[in-house]
Amino acid sequence: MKLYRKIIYGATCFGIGAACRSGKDVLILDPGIHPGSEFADTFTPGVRWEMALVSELAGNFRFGLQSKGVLHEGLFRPSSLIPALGDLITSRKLELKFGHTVVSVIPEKYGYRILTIAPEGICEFQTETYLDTLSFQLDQIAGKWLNAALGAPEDGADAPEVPGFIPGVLPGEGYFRFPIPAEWSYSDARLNLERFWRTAGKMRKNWVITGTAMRFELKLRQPMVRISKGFQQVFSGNFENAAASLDAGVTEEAE
Amino acid sequence: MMIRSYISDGKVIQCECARPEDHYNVIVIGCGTAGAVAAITAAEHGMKTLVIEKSNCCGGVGTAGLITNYYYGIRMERHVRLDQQVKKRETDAGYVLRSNCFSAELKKIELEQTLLDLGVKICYEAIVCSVLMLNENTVAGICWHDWYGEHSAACDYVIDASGDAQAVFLAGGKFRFGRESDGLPQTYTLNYSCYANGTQNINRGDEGYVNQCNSAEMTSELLHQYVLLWEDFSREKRIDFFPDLLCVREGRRIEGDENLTLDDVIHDRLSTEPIFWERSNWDTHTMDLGFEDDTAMQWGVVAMQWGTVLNIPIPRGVLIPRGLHGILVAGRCLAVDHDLAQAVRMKDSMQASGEAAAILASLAVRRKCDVRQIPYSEFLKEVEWNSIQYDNSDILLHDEMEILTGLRSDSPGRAIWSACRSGKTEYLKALLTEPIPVCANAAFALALLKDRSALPVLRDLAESDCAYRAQTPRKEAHRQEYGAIAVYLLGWLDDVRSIDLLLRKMHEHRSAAYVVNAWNALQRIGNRFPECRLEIVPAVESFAKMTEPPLEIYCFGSRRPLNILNRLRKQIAQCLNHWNWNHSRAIP
Repeated sequence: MKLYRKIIYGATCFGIGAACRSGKDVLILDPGIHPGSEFADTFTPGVRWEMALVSELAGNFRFGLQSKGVLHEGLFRPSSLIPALGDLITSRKLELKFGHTVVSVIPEKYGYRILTIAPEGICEFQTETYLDTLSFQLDQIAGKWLNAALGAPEDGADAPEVPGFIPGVLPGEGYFRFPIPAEWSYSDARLNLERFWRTAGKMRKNWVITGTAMRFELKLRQPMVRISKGFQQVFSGNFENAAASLDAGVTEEAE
Repeated sequence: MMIRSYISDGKVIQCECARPEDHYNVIVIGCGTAGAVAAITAAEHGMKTLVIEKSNCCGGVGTAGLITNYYYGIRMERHVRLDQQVKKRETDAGYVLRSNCFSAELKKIELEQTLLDLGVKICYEAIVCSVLMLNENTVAGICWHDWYGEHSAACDYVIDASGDAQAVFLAGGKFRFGRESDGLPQTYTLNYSCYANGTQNINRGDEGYVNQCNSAEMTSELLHQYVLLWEDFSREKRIDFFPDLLCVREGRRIEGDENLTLDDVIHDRLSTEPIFWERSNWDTHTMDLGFEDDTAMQWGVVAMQWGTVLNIPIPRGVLIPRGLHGILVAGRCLAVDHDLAQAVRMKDSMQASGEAAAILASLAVRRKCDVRQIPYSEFLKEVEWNSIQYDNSDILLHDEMEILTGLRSDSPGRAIWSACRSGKTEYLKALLTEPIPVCANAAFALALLKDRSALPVLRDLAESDCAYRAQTPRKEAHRQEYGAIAVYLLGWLDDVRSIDLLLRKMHEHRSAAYVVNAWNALQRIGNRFPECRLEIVPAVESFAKMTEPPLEIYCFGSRRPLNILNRLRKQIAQCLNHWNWNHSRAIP
């Protein structure tokens, strides 16, 4: 069985950046089918997109988002991150497997034995070091949102007078950031979001919810944790925006 | 004690484990199209129900996957009532949608609220990692994993509505996947939505083929699509959101107590004890039909019946994995062949499959017996549709004059099929001297009956690259030129005299249909007559070395061509390997 130098859990922005930095014998595992899910699937628009970035990779990536109109004057289209990151992964020839949920991280002499559940059953991998960019401790949640994508006819595209509304890149598109208590489940959050939006009445004008996010947006008190030697957790969604997270992944010092 | 069964390194591993403390009557795996209705039905029948779902919402492709309209299927009670409740929510919320379309978000809420009101426990972001068994073939519980760790529960019955029969797979059940020729399933769609000018548009072009049961193949295909999407990206397209599930049409199909085929349906070998119905045309999205099997080619291309709507009674054996107890499937993984899987997958009917599975499971739990032992009359008492009977009697023409009129028309498919089913040939032979297309239509019907009097007309059609195409009941997509159909039928009739003609058609590269049909014909002849391989193989080998020009097909709704040349070259290589072809010998 191949011994990887590093296995990264999460085809997240941080995870992809770390993989780009780490070079050969790196494997990214992700439970879903979307890269950048911590921003793309949470509909997190990000802030301070104009911030200085350290790495050329992240700078070029941000420029690419701007040139394609995914990022425009600080406004962002989260879902469009998916093809952008897919293109980056392919151009950098990163090794990635979608559909793998890590269920066990077992210390071994060589490093760690990783067990995953995949469509083909239980899979095993061996690595010297392990970086988890998806998991978090529940008591670390500092903020939680269920976000929604919004749409309106362009001729009625005045912003709704609803706190939490974020305009999109073009008129008639936008996002709604709905804050929820940390203990709320998807059921609680979805029902309350829909109820709020339905009763927002004139405040929302003729904007409708076109889709709710597939994941919660989360901010943690402690985004980086060293579990043990060679095993680190860095929650990718905690960075201010997708480019900042990618940048941190590229520049973060490895153990 | 129980036995824990899981798959590792391609093998079924079983080990002893303790019985879990939690117990349910029914555990439903997957809260998608079939699973949500199955869980609701089980709970309404008084079953203590748990549902395990890997995403964060209910409804599967019909909600999270943005397939918000219906296409054929048969409307049965429970999901009709659910849809009515969704429509009421839409009215209250001020949504305006077509009657056949539903708000994905409101349907998620309606399904979820119904489940919660019925006391169903829902576990989101949870995936099944193993099944618990009483012995080597009785399933009695499930283990699953979520953010909080591993959990397990025992149960009386499992309904596997995971889409790819994941629990049956983990229990060591038997499967089929894809088509015989190359193992590929039906095409899939990578949906995403765009919102502009007050309208949400869903991109639903077929992107190609994916095996979602293999993580490496799935990853490779997805990255390829993301790269193409980024190349084409335009800000004006306004991509709104990407579902986090693939809209696949086919995955693993179980080996069931009964296995239903398209051939059964089109030859009226139908069940008299259905537990639900499918109503659909043979809705293949495949554009490389030459790689499908003979039943598919003859029904869909030669007899041009792609658009003909079939009523398909589904018996319970199609939901029961062979050799296993304590588990049923619902949804697209039923025990049907690849051909029939292209019809038996419509949302209405998949919802009905969930309902039927849950009724059977509930009756089995109450009676403390296996679902196989439930009398059909007991099942019928639980459904309201027992008075409904559908048949396919209007597909066939029985009157010879009607058949002749049809063969002389520009839409002859029904007549061709009816002539074939009648078995009579004399009146068909009399048409062989009439001009195209009449002689061709008659030749097609004769060829389907394996009557070699069709050969001269077929050879002429192929030689002349006859470009005529008949009209069909529905869309144009699967109409092939009569020359290409003739090429296929020359192989069906094992016409050794046409080898040179078929080789020329392959090399002329006129279209994917001609090339693939010609290869299929040559392969069939070579299989039947080994002495012909001496003539076939050198020419086919030289074709197999070509890497250009591409052999292109367009999937439904896609603007990008799919190059199938490499796939064909692999098939040729496999065939030559099967023929054990050795250049040092004249005949293997």
